Amino acid sequence: MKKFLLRIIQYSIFFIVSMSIILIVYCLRNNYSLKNFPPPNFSDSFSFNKKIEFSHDRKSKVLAVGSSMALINLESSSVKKHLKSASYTNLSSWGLSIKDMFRLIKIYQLKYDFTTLVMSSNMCDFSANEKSFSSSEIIKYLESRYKNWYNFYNIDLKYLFANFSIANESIRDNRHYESFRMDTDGGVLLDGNNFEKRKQRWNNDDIGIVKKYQYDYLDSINQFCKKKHIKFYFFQSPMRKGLINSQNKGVINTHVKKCKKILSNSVYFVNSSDTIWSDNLFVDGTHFNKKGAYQYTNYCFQQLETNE
Amino acid sequence: MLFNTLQYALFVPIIFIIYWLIGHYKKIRFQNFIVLIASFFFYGCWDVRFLGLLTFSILVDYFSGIQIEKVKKRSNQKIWLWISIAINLGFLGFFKYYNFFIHSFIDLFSSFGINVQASTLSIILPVGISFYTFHGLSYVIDIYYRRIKAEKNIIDYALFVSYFPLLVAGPIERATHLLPQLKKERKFKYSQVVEGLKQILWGLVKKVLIADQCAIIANDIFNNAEQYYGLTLVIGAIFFSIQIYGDFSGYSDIALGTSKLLGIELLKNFSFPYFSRSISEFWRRWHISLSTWFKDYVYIPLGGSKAGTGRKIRNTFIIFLISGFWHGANLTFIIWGGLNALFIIPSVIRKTNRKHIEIVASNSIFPNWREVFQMILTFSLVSFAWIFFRAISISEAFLFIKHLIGGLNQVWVYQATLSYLKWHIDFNIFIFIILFFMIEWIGRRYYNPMLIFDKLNTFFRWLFYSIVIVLVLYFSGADKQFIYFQF
Repeated sequence: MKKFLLRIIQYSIFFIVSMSIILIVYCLRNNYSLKNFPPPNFSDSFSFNKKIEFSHDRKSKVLAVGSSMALINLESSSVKKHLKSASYTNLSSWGLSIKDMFRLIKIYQLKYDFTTLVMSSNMCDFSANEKSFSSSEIIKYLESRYKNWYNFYNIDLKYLFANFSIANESIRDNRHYESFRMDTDGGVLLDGNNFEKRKQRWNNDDIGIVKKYQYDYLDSINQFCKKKHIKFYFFQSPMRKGLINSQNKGVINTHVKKCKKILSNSVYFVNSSDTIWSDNLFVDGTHFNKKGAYQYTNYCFQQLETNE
Repeated sequence: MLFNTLQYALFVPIIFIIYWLIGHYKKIRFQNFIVLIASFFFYGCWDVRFLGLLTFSILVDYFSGIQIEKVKKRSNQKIWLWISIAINLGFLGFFKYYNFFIHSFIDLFSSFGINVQASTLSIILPVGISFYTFHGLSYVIDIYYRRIKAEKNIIDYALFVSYFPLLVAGPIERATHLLPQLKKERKFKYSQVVEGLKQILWGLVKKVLIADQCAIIANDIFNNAEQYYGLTLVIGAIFFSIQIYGDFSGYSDIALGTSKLLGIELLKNFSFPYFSRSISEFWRRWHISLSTWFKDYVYIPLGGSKAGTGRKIRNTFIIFLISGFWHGANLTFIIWGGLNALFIIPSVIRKTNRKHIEIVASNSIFPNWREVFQMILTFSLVSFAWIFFRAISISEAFLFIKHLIGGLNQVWVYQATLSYLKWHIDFNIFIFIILFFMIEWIGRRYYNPMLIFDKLNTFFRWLFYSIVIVLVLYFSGADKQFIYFQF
């Protein structure tokens, strides 16, 4: 037994030392550090995983949940100013569908017990493919007192190494779509002046094919908010002026009407597609730059204040 | 608690330390008691409700065994034997086959135009029920045939049935082999423990680097068989053959290795089955504990090979069909069993089924051309049968075969296969498979092929183990179920 224990100790030291050397050299060569450590692997979306990680240490009464239409287009300080609340978190991430949002809202309700929900959305949220994630796993993570222990317990080396470079890129600057340099409340503002636009995205006027069941999930969100007495703000996010034509305008109007009908009078509803939004406020067809996000957020709340 | 999880990696060392600390004071009873508690904890991690069923099964066989030995008249012994068999098979039938029989019953009557109203039940299949039921059955049958004496110590018997390394997916142990080990004082043997650790590592390699990587391709092709043709489906079948071998033999290796850590040797379950030169050799090397179980408790009582050729063929079909049905309540498994019986029948008729007892090329480095051809043919037949094993339904299996054969004579199908290989298959998988079979080939004369690295000096050996551990950790990812847990 003694010989065995001695051998185990010797081997453990050998393993730790040799593998540490290899790991340190590898990390130094690739500029990997603890600062850009990837978030836990909840889904195949880095943005989604990052947001879940961000939400672990927060507790807010006002939440923004949505896709990049809320992540990039909602400007945090304007939301806080108009809702007169400092307790705000933007929990949106790239590519979420309405169904994903409904699932997440239910999860966040358990942790945050929030009173106000802000959604900024457009047709892409109704045509997006759903993310594959386990609600119970996210709840387990959010409820864990020590997130590092959770990370260790659920470590996935392949995912970690595959995502180190993405993590690196995402915190580097706000001049790319991959940017995840969040403000203190979780919003991402893409730099308007130096942003590297991608031609394909800039000219993309495809509004996608809506999956009809997504409207049922919008209704479910509405019913959920009613049941939990949550104030629900729904903003229809616009397209840049240069992409609007008679064809897509008609489709968008039909979509907006449908949403409005589902959300009825109980929801604070603003359709910003009615207004023309100058191209210089955007980084592509639907995502605002810093200036655009500020104008859009203020516009939505001002519309409501005027109506009141 | 799966074998390839952090929970298990923490569970085993804790048990190991407590077990040998107690062993230091030579208390076998306490050692057995600790492992029994650990086994119940291990099983309860799936669902606490399963523990009730396991306990009941243990008690039934324990008391039946004692009664069989106690009563003098053979007819009374037979009654106790049948009580035990009926209860064991009754439980297995109810939990595993109830819905299958109800569906078959409804289908049969509806084919005659009669509508039968019968409700199915939403039953959870207790993990490992097929395995521990067979443990219990072999125990009472062995007592009835006076091969062993009834176990009086309930803790030892309960441990024999519920011993955690083999509880959920075997190997199916015999009381004659395991119970004497549980009653004997166990001494800490350095070589045995180290061998156990190496076997666990090799099991993890099989599971994580081979089975789980092959599963990505096999699942994609089998789940979308309607989209693929010809050679792509052949690739799917080959990858599934490798996956199931890595998965199940990997599990068995971890089970055997874990048991070695506790000083207990379990029956070997796999012995390089894909190096077999005939189907009969394959079945002597694949899931050995189940094959020998069926041979001893079904085939031989039916007359075995001592009867005429007709009887032998009948008996062979019976054990393969039962074996198929044991795997699951689905016609696909029965056809899989039937196909294997069909493949083995020619050797039964020609009385060549006892050929190839030794491992292939036992005295040379490489096999001869005849052996290569035989191995390829055997692998092809086995892989063909696996299509039924993997398919969810008969129609899905036939669609797979139809697309496979239908696409072989069209040029675009070959182009599609090349494109599939290029875009869908990670290069790592090929490297892993080639290295894996190379190591298995070189180490085919050893109990565990990893032992070939014992010839290296300590530094390189430890470096090799470290790289393997890192690769296993790197590719392990989320928990991945073992295929045989469903049985």
